[in-house]
Amino acid sequence: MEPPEPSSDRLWFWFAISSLACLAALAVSPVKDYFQEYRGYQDRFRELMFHRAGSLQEVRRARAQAAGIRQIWIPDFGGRVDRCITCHLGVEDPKMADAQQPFRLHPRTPHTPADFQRFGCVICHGGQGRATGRDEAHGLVPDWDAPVLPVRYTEAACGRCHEADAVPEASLLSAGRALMSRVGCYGCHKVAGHEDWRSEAPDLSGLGQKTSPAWLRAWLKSPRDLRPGTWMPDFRLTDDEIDVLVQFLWAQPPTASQDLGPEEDPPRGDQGRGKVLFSESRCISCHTVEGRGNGSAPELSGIGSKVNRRWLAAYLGNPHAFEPATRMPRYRFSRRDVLDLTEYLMEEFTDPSAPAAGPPLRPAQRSFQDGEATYKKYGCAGCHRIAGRSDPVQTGPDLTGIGEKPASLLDFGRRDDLPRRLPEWLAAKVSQPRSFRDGLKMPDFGFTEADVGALVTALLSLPREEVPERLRDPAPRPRYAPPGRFGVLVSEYRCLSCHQVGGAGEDISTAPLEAEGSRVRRDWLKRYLLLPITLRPVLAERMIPLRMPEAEAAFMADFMDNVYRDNGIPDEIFPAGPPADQVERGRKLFFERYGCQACHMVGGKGGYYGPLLDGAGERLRSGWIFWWLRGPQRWRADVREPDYGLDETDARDLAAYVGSIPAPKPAAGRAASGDPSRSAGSPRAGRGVP
Amino acid sequence: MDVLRALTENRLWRSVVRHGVRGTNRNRVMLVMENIFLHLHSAKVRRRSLEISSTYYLGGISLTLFAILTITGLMLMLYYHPSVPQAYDDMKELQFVVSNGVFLRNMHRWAAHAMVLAVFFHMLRVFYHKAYRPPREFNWVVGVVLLLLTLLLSYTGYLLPWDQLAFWGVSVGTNMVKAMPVLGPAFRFLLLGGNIVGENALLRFYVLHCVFLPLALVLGVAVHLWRVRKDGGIAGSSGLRRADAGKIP
Repeated sequence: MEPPEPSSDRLWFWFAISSLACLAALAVSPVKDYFQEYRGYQDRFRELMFHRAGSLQEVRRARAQAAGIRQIWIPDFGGRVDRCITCHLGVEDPKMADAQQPFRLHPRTPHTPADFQRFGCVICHGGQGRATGRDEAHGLVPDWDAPVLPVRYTEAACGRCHEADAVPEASLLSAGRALMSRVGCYGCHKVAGHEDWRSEAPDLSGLGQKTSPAWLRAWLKSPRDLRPGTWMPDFRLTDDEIDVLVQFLWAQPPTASQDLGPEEDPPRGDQGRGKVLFSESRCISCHTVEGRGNGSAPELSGIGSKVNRRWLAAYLGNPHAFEPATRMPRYRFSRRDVLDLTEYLMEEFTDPSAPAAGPPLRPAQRSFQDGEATYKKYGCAGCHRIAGRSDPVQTGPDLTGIGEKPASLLDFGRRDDLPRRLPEWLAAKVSQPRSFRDGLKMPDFGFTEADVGALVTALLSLPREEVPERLRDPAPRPRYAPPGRFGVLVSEYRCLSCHQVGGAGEDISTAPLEAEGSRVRRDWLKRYLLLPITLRPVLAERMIPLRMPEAEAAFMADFMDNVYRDNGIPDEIFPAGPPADQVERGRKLFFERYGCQACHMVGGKGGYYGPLLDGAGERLRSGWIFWWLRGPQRWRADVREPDYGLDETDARDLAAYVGSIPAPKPAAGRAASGDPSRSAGSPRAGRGVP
Repeated sequence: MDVLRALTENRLWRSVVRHGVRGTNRNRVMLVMENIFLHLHSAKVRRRSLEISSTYYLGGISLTLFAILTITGLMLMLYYHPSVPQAYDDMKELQFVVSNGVFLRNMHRWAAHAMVLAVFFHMLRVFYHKAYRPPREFNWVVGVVLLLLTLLLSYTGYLLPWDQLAFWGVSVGTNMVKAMPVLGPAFRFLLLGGNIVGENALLRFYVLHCVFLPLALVLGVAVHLWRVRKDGGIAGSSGLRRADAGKIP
């Protein structure tokens, strides 16, 4: 192998050098491969396992812990692979409850630790499941659209599978979704699953006969100044826009049913009697007065300065003629009741700062057209209806998939102060909707910080990617509607504004109606419908006296007695009345063993946390009491009565005693007996109300 | 040296390597002519042709890059499924879990870029050295075809990662094909296996990238090298020596 040319020595030298350099360059990759980030974490975790090992077995296990990538594979979810557990090694190890991240034990949730293998991690937390480096896995790299969800919004993930508005154990998400529905996001934005959403905002037909132009002007200028806590957002309208809108709204004629009656000037009523009626009718079970009350209906302070006396009288006579979609029931007030209530509301609930009525409006054609354009521009019809018009609704962007929108597609406009991330953008959008650039139309809702957190959670839960069918928990769709004449009465008295039945209705009352017939006795129910008594003194919301005619009460009681039955609940367990020895034993159990009087009042003594039990036998079926005592949470999960795990004998004896507690005498002010048909205006129902 | 001789002067060795490396002209010629890997090359070249300024080794560099691409490509095929959305997931797997996967993929990618560059410069070199002139016209045409094949290989490989860049790159490219008169839409349909850039397009581009185009390229390179030899070896810088360069008017 003698060198053939003299210059080859130099050539051989460079050949050797470049070969070595090439080899060194090739070695970089395997070395990098060996010293990957996750190996460091795995070494640290192994050390931690040694430190915390409590037995020889655990030491052995720590020693046997091999280095390598770990993953959860979910073949029926698009073949997802989550390798988070390559570094988050302690998620299932109770010994790591207080370890530093990434080794800490996963907190308990309804799905952990049972469902790790079913879901993986990314479905809840976001990030890039396949990655094995820290920044890549957390999605903090430019090419990954879904970075890890900040922990405060984690509940958004619950909403990807649980599509109902109320999600148990996800209070923030539920609050956010309730808020979205309440403030009317769906009026302007399309969101899958809420296509049939209906706003509760007032019907604007015939607005001219309800209030004054001056009041409307002040209202449009700044709704929250006039009525703090209103859901009407502030559109930041200019004075000019307000003028033309008022022109437009004033020109909308009332519908045929919105008839104020023949009297030009209704007679004045008795304010004192109106006040009694107001408290007796328990208006604040729904309305608020200066912020106090349930809040499911509008604030009433200031109403005297807002509405027209004649309109109010007509409205109280039949609210449904004016607001077909209102939740307010139709009280069967007499004409005198109506006038007295009107007098009280008009005189008592005035707002000195409200604008004076001012002169009537002079119509102008051009302003009307501009007003119509403004009405359409801001999408007012998303929430408000005007009879005979079909204006564009849902004028805002579609929100489907907003929860996974890449930050690069968001318009940050002039908000240079925000980090370029979706949650921050959403929070800024709902709290300061028009701060991004000029010409935006979304109004200001005046959300609190807590509201914003809840809303962002709810918005982040609107996914682009469908979860597999097996994981979906769809919102209950088929809405139950009570049938026939009963249904008509239920609608008339708006029972479902407070009660739930078959998944329909609001949850203001504590009593769903599904098994009402198995629960209470028919005669008691009829009396209760005619004149409700206080059952749970601790609650502010009470059943309202609707003044229904006796025939209607009898019909409703009969219907519920026959239809709203649960065959799993026994009917009567003492057909011949409770035996005396069982009653006596039950009495001892009640007072001595279980101390029921701590919460329940019997004979005027005891706590008032639970329902009053005087006359419970007249109210409740013995089978119900027995069934209830054996596990109250079978009725509703949030029942506060503790489950004492009573055996059958104890439950039976207790039921015997509770069923035999005598009703108090009528003189004590209770209406459990006696003739309930009475003249309107009797103040008895108001008594005993704290 | 005795050990070396003992190793090389036995029947087994001689059955593989027939000629040894003795530096006689005859032996050198035999060595080249009877070796399948070397036989395309001229048995004898002028010293002048081996100087760097004659060719800048651009053809050889292109060939070497093609070899690297073939090897890394075959290895990548072990980890790749031409299906949606698995294709993109496979890229991620290469990045995150395949040992040296990033290295493998980057080798393929950068070698591809370098090959386009090398082939292009090769063409420029041939052009400026007037090496396209008779009798080399045909080989110039073969070279142009090889450049096109190189570009097509790059382009078909572009879709395979199935990321946004790939998708839109191919959308734009195939829409350009559609703009071709008369045959455009039909040709695009043929290329995509449908009317959208979808799974069929991915599969077609995969087959083109891994089978048809490489085979065509290998064939083309064989013809190209063969013709280099048959046309009288490489044409250096028009026979001008550096010493004469100043004398050109």
